[in-house]
Amino acid sequence: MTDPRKIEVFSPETLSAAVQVLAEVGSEAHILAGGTDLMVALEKGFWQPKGFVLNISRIEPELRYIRMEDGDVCMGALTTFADIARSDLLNTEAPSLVAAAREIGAQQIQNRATIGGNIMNASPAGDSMPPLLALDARVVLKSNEGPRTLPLFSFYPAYRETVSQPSELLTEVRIARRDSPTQDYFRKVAPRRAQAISKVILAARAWNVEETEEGPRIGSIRLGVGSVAPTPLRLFETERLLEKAVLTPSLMGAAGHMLETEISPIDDMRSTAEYRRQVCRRLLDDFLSNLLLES
Amino acid sequence: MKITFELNGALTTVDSPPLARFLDVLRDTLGLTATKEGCGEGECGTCSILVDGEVVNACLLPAIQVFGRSVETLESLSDPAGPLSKLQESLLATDGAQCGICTPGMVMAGTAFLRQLKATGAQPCDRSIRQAIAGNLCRCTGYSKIIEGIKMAAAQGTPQESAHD
Repeated sequence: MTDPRKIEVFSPETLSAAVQVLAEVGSEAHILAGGTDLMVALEKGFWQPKGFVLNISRIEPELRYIRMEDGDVCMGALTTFADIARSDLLNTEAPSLVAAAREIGAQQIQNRATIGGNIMNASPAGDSMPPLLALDARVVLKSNEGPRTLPLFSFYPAYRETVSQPSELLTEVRIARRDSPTQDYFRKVAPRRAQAISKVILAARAWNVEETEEGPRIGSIRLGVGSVAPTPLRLFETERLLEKAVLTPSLMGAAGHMLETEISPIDDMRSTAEYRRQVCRRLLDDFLSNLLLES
Repeated sequence: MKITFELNGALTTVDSPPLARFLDVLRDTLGLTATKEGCGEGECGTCSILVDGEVVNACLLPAIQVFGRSVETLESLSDPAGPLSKLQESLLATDGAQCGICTPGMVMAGTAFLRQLKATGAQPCDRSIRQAIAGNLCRCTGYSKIIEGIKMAAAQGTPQESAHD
């Protein structure tokens, strides 16, 4: 067998050249961005690349940016977590994503790892996806036939799978900017704050929270979780229960029950299903009780 | 394949498999052994180097991705015959090194942090120093003395200035 490190690597200089390569031989291509996942997999022998590697790092001028566009906050796929952590725009518009970026690996990883790589690696424990789900993120996939945009919640059909086609390159992530004030939450439960893979992640956003005589009423809410299902997951049913309803202790209890029916945690080397279930529920309680306090 | 980049200020070309770990290129091809291998999976930080001024793990860096970049290794901070950098001097003064395995990476992560302080004019605190070296494991657990050393170097100026000026 040939040494995988000697596999052919193609490094296009432009996005259109990269997309052209994928149009022709996309099914043989492994896409390399910051390398923080792939290089470990290569070292450990988990990754046996066949075909060739498409190194997209030289397209940085086209794919590394954070900017407002048509009312959305847009990030190029090669935006690093260090870029996200220091972005004033994201600190204002997406504090939960910034919080996640600051806890991904440590500085060495944040300087290399990209938002596109984290999304395409499709790990159920990926740190950026729960906040992105809570922020109504959409991903832009580009192929020779043009771009298509789809919501992140529809991106992961199964464990470590995405709906992206071999001819497509993830180029951008878009977050809906909210005009009204939001309350945002990110909590990653792990043995330490740096260099850890999560046991449970909950990210949340609520807006249009109104005070009523019986308690606060949540206009809109989004909940994204990680490490508690085969894929990153948005908790649609729990959201539905909480939206437009007055947040009473009994509603919070019902929401916790609903959350438990939506997640499907497992026992593994990092934690147990029971721990994950209980802690995930507590994280939701934590977010909701603070809404009670703040409103 | 031939890969050209700037290494410690000098234009350098190496012949390397494209996905070779840059750590191996440094140590085996170029003979620069100050950068150490610890875990080989981006957890321990002892292979920390600077690429375009940012601290990264050399074990996770495919050789092909240093193309056109500026790389700094521990060797750039001081000449074997010359004075140490301020951070190296400070770590000596605070006993910020025990077995020494984590030290090269601590120095590089600390150097990146001190430069950032200089650029932003921020004052260091224990929390920001801990955050800066959160990706560098010391299994002698001498963190307090390392943090003290970084703080001492910050109080004296930047690590690029050598100790005698």
